[in-house]
Amino acid sequence: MVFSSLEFVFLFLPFFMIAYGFSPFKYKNAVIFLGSLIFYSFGVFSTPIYILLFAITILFNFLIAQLIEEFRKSRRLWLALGLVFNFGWLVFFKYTGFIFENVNSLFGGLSLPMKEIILPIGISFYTFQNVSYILDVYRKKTAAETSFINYGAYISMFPQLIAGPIVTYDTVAKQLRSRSHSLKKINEGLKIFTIGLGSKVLIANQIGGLWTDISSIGFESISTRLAWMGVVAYSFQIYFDFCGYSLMAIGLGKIMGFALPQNFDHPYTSVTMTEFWRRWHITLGSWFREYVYIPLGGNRGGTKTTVRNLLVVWLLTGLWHGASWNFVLWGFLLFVILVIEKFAIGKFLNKFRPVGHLYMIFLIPLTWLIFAVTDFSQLGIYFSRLFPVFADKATVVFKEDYIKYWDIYRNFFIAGAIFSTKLPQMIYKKIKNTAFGAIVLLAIFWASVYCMYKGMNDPFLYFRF
Amino acid sequence: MSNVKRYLYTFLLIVTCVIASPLIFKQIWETSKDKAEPAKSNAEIQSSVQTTTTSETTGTSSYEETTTTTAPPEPVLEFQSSSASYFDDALFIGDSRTVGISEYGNLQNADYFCNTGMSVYNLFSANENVKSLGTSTNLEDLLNKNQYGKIYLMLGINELGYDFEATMAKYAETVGFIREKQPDAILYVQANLHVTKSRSDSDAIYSNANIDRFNQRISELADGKEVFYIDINEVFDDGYGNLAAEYTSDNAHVYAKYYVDWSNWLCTKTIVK
Repeated sequence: MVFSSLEFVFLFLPFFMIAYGFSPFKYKNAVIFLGSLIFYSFGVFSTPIYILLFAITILFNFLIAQLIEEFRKSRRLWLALGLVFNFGWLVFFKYTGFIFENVNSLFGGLSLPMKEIILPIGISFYTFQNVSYILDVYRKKTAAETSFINYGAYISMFPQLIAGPIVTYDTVAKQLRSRSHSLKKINEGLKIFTIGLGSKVLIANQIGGLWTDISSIGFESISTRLAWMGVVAYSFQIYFDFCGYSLMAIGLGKIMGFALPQNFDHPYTSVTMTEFWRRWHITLGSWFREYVYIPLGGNRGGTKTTVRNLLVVWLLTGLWHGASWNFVLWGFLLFVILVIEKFAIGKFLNKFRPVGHLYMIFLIPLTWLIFAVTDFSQLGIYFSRLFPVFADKATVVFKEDYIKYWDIYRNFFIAGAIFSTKLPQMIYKKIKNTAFGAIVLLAIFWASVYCMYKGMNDPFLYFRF
Repeated sequence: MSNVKRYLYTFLLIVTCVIASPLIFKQIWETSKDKAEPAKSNAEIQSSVQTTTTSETTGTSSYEETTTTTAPPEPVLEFQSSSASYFDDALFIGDSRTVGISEYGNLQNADYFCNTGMSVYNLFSANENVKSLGTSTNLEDLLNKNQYGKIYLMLGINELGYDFEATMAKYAETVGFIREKQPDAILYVQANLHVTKSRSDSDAIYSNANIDRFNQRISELADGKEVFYIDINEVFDDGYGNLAAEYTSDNAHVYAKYYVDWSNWLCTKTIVK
């Protein structure tokens, strides 16, 4: 079930909120756990066994953490078991096809079966949460959770289950035991949810139409101007989609009394890629820093080690986003850019911010292009459209195509640009408790519902994670 | 007072949601029904469409051809190949596929009256820019002003969600209108392009069973003398009555570069009196 669907907003959410609101505090986490399992079951409708797997995963990690804490001598064994279990499932579901594909092509004779495995939704996210928990218990950063219901509520919490933010256990441990509920929080949460909904439905889903149009036309047939419009549109789509979803998660969490971590902080206002990755998918960056970069030594082992650690983190980050070589390339490219910034141009870009902005305006769409196109030959074709000096592979070009699509998507480009800046948030802070603000939010909500009603729904881009 | 303003949004939200809920629940109910029954309704329609499959190989092309229609009346005139100049006095009427031909095909000499959402239901109220007139016009005015030697009609996809017999009546009415306005023009009634198998299997409305049923009925309007039926699916089908996956990204339209092939195929299906 997608947040931006009529079923969620008008059926699941009201029912859940009523059930949650009327249950006494000691049962609220159980309601979250049960409600989230129901929510999850809608998402794995075609493969109901995945609910069982999900529940077993929660139980397994819950027990492993207790074993780690209880039996200090053999704690390494329990940790290893936990890591193998968690990553084992992730690799199996997400990367088997990729691995077999590559082994097949490497050893021409082999022909390992390429069965289409359906990914349990949210597996990339809940795996990382489970792993962060058992690691934190292992290094005594947190005590093991004693209540299975609490742990279940933490992992399955439907606001963040499918697409993050990646919430570490210690962020919510206290809140699981004691958090306040108030009309103020519900009110605030609904407002944040509305903004997230509008972000996804009114901007992301709409401007996402251009990338779909371009894909339908075929990359070899688009003009250079349209090609550039396409990558910019994609950049807006992925941002407002993901950021919108995170905001909806935070808003829903707030209604349930939780303060979930911020996941996006105006990443498109960055002047360096380094800054960008402190503002984009913040909880993922934190996870990799906490559980990979720092344990490897971070930047405290000299230049060579730092570079090596960065390479590991970014290849893994790329791979986490998808089981395909373009994601590895994407991660690697980001690594190269970050290293160049760290050791050469970073200071300059930070000092001369307009240059930094210009630099990012080119880098952001170009790096997203590598992220967006899985097939390398298609990627090559697209690049040749962006930079026609290198090759002119156009078969047919409708010369006025960019005019046509600018006419269609102009307003969404403008909205995307405006809402990427900090200005709207500044305005929102001023109006959110005024009558005018209420009307604006109401308009956003109903405009979004109208779009969902008309079926202008797109699956969330990060859902295959 | 400020508390009222603070909570105003939540209050208005709940009130408006309660008011709108019957409408919303109805929509949820309808869409979940559609999702549940694509296979069932397709099977029903399939059994009501009589299909004969014949395979022909043409000398000039390497496309795999299957025709899935009841045999249309034997054409008195035979299809011939013509050069692109045949289309100097041609008018194409249609939906997004016709838009594709107008943008990416190589029959730029023809006139086009088309838009992405065109259907028999909005055809007469549509205003489109027509190149030879240099201005926007509706269909009636266009047919009054310009005399065409041949008119191509390709509609149907956007109507699949509506009542079939009502759509058929409207389609026949449209054909009658064009014939009346331009009795000397050859009218080509075009089959609608199939969708891919994956789309067809998962969509109750936009399925090849529905498209075939539609195409079969409109083919019966062809008389082989003034009105002819041509079927692009012989170019792009996968051999099983679906649009072959390699020609498309969105499962319903061919890549732009294939509109050149489409144009070339149209040149091979011309009637010369």
